[in-house]
Amino acid sequence: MSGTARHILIVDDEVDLLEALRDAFSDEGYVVTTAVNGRDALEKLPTMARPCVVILDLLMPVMTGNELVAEMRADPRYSDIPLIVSTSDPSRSPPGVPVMRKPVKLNAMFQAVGRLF
Amino acid sequence: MCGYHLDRFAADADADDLDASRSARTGGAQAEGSFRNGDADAGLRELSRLQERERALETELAARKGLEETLRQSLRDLEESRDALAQSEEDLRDFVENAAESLHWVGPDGSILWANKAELDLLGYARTEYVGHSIVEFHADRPSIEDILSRLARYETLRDYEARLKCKDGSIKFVLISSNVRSKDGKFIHTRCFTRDITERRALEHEREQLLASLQRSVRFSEMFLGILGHDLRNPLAAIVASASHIRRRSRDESLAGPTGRILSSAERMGRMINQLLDFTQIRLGAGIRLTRQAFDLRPLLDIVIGEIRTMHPGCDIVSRCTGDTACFADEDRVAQLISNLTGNAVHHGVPGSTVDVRIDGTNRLFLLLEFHNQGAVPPDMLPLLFEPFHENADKRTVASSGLGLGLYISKQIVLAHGGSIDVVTTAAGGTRVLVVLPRQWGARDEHGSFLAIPVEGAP
Repeated sequence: MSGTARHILIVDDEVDLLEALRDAFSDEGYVVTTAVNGRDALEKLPTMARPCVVILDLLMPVMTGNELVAEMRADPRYSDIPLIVSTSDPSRSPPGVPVMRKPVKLNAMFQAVGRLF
Repeated sequence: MCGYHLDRFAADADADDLDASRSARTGGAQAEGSFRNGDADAGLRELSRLQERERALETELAARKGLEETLRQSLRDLEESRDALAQSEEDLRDFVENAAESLHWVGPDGSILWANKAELDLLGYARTEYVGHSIVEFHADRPSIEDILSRLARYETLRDYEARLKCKDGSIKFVLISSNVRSKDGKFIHTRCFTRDITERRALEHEREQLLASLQRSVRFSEMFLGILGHDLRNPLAAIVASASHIRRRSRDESLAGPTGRILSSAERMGRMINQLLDFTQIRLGAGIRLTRQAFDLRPLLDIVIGEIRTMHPGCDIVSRCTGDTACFADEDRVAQLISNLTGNAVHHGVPGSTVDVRIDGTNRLFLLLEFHNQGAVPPDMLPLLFEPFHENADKRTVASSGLGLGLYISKQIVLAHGGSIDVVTTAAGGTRVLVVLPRQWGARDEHGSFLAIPVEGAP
């Protein structure tokens, strides 16, 4: 692990999965922030260190993953943050975003995130 | 015709001549006295003339008798024709009055001029309750009868016009009306309407439609339910997989390796089944298999997939090889799923301990040939059902190990979505060979050897 903290934001309404991923990524040396829907993520983004990647689910209450992607792409502060979609229905994914189908293997997710650094 | 004998019409002059002739032949004494006192030749000429006249009159009489007979025959023929016409009219009246088909006439003002028994029976009215009334009163849908009357007023012919009629008991009859107009000298006389009762047929159709709609709702509900269930199951499963993977990576306790491995392999199998259920639901809901095409090489993908299957089935001998150019333009994830399904199928159904061969032939310019071979034959009665969803499998052991029976069905859908084909060849001696023809749909490599993605018609 490098000495520089690597921040990631994980957005999913499945709290168990959110916590499991936070534990796993924290153990890998990432600083993890979690959000339970797109609105929650948008509210946390200005308060946290700029994330290196946002891992997000698509089907969520309040604000969906697709809506979050649209908001981030429209905002110059966040439009260049890399995204990885982790979803059970890849057919709904926004274009141009890497997609991982749930249940995602942890190693595969580490590799996908690692490729972004 | 008058009743007098035709003799009564003979001319008076003719009668005189006839009498004179008869007298000349029968009254000898009187004639003899005349000859003695007059010119004998003149008498003879007179006699001859009278005889001639007699013959002419007899001929005339015979002709008139012939004419009389002809006229009498004509009279008899005429009477027979009149009787036949009356009989025909009677038959026709009986035919329309007692026909099984309902008939009625409507005048130009919309009032019913006549209706037969079948029509009255159909609707349950007495003649006086129906005939003389406006036809509009008996139609359940006013726009419908207004349309019928206006079209007939334009002398259109209606065929099987569907309408609803009100019966005396308050019920409604569904009918088909066929009608046109009888006219004379351009004047509307009356309509000729045939009414066919289709109430029973409509009731059956309605029942069938209801049943069909109910079945469709049930099927749709089941498919939606499966889809939602499959989708919602993935989230907790993802949490299980992530947590078990985390424990496995971090734990130094060797005794946890077995349990976490079992959690992960079970979760893997469950995930596969959920994926299959979701794919199946998506296909059945009409969305089909959606493809995200890209240019890639099948060779490394094959190595990755076969590696995963070897990990899951360490005792199984799987041989894979590629020949030719294995570049293609397709949905990489779906092709990986296809290879995984068909190889897994060969492993599950092959003779235990035998080798499974997976081969990709890239020697054809237009397509790739994927071949999956295992020992053991597919029973002939199973062949037609092989690519059907949830097909029965005689080998219960393999059913338990292979999951839902959707793998081959989904594999076929993936191949079809790519515009390819899939076939099975099976013999007791040669084993089972699944052959997939996958259109290459690829772009040429650029100068750096990278694939050039060429958009494929219909590709997302």
